[in-house]
Amino acid sequence: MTAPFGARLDDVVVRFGRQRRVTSDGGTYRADASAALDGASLTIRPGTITGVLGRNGAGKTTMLSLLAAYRRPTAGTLAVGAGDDPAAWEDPWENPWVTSNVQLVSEGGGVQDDEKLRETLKYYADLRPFWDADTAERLLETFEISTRKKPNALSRGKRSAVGAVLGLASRAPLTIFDEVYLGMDAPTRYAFYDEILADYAAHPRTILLSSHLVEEVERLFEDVVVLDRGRVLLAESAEEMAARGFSLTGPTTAVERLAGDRRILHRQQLGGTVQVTLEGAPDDGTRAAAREAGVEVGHLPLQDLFVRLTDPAARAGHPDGAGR
Amino acid sequence: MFDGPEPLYVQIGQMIRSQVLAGELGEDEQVMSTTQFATTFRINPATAAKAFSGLVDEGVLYKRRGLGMFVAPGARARLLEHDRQAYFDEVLAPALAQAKVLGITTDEIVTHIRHQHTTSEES
Amino acid sequence: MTGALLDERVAFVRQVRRAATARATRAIAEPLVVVGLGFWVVVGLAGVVVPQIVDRAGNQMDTGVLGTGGYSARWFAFALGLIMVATIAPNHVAAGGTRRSLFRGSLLAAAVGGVFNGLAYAVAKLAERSYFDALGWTWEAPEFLVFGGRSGFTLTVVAAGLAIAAYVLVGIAVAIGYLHHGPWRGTLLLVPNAAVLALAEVATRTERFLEPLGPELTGATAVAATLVATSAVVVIAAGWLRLNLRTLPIRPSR
Repeated sequence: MTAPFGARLDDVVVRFGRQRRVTSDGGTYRADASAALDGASLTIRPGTITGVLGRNGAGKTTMLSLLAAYRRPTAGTLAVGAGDDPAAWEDPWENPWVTSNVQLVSEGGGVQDDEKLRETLKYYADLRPFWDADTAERLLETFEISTRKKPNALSRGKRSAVGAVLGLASRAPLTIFDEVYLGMDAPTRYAFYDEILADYAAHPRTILLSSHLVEEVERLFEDVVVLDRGRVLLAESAEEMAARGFSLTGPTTAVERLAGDRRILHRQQLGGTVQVTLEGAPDDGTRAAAREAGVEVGHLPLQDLFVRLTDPAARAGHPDGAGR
Repeated sequence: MFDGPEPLYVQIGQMIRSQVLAGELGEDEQVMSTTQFATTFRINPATAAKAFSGLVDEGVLYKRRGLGMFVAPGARARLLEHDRQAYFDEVLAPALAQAKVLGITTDEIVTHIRHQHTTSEES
Repeated sequence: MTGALLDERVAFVRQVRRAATARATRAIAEPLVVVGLGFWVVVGLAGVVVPQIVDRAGNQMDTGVLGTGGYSARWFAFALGLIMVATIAPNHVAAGGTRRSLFRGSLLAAAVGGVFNGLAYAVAKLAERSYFDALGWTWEAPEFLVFGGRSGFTLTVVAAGLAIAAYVLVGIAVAIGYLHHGPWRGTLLLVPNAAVLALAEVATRTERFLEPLGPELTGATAVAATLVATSAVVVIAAGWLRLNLRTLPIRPSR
């Protein structure tokens, strides 16, 4: 297997032609479509499991399809390749060295809808240089998918599971799962996460995982990328991200006293007990005072940070995180 | 599990240490591989690996090439020693400093502790 | 990059490119042959049954059913090219294949489909002629090639095959047009696609355009002109397909 692949975006813009827009008085006019990606820059470190987060329409799918050469950017440069030096990476477009080492899967995409699943699998088995037929077979059994069915006839969850099978069995040095959980029930999702971790540990590679189920997947990530309105809001290690805040749980008055004038990201009241998520790291004084007051100091739920960062009302104060 | 404010790898380290301290993990006993650990707790294998290599550096675990990680001989004694020292430095010292501020004498404290100790032993 | 690594990479790329081209070729060519076989069985049956009925009724036919059969073979090939590529294109790119290897696969599949269906057509023509002879009818073929001497059979295979290949390629170009531009602009693209097909139709009938120009332009000259013109149309169809396919974006999900 080729060494894990990294990826880099430099000021990448993707615009989808022109679009009909509605004016405030109800008329329509045509204008340049808003950019799906609007100057996105970031580096994906080879060998990591990186989470790609963003609200709907933030540009996640567009960015991921660029890496797999599904489309070309309108402007900016793109580089994908092995090794730690991004200067040696290459443009993926029509580049078989890159495309055969990058696998993008999504719910229901990349398959032959009207042919039996067998046909799709044959295609992957032939084209994917590191295809593992045994893994494919085992996973199809795990997810209870019959290869005699047409993808069209499968439920949404099963189509996502097909994506999971294709992504894992391809063993591509850069494997991208774009919301490959849609329609899956919780046990299937957890089985999928377990398969990712086990396969990643056995066959190190770079895995990108986009998801809205932040709480479920945050611990899988070594790095996290947050996209918002076509831009990269944050790209850093999960550890750095977790250090951006903490939570306090305890009696309301004590918690409020401890929180002081720190910015509150999230607040949840349960009777006389409150949990608040705060920005910044807890200092020793806060910890000691918390212990004394019976307040529990906890970790920052990534979900809270994510919601706060991408909240339209709070966008003014971006943390400096325009990519690394 | 692992809900503290510290980085995940620090919390993992704390968990293993407390298992060694409590005797749940005996000397020369094999601990989970990072892969097993990652899949069991559904966390990133690199995070688990970072925690484990930290424990190796501390001398709590040692590596046997091709076999895995094991609890180092004397690890429990060392952790015990370390935590005892930490108790005096991190728990008792601030309490004593506070006592000084409040004008509580050493004798008062000793008497108090003796009394507490006997009552807790009686009950 | 060191020399050994570079060699490794060159070999790797050659291998994946070959695999992608071969899989695409197979995916498109297989139905052209397998379903094509079924098509010719049906046409063959009609070729036997229809003259029988006409004969029983005491009538005669001057042209066989194969004139129509040969023509519908082109549309059949067109439809299969369209359906197969619409089906496999997203799969091909998702599995790491390039648009270039999909194009090469399309060319090879068009060649295979052309040879097979051209061959089937020529064999059917010969069979029909013997059949008409047996019924005591005179058989008039709309195409002159079967009568064009000893090499007539081969020439029929080549000419019919080239026309079918052009239809396959245009069918694929239509599919790519819709995948690329969606229903509206995809439909608009039917105009240039139809123009290429019209060229193919004209090219296969080259001898008819030459006939009025003088007797010296029939025979071998006409055969050569037909083959050159049909080949040129295949080249145009291939170029047109490449143009459409080059920039094809793929939507990641349905």
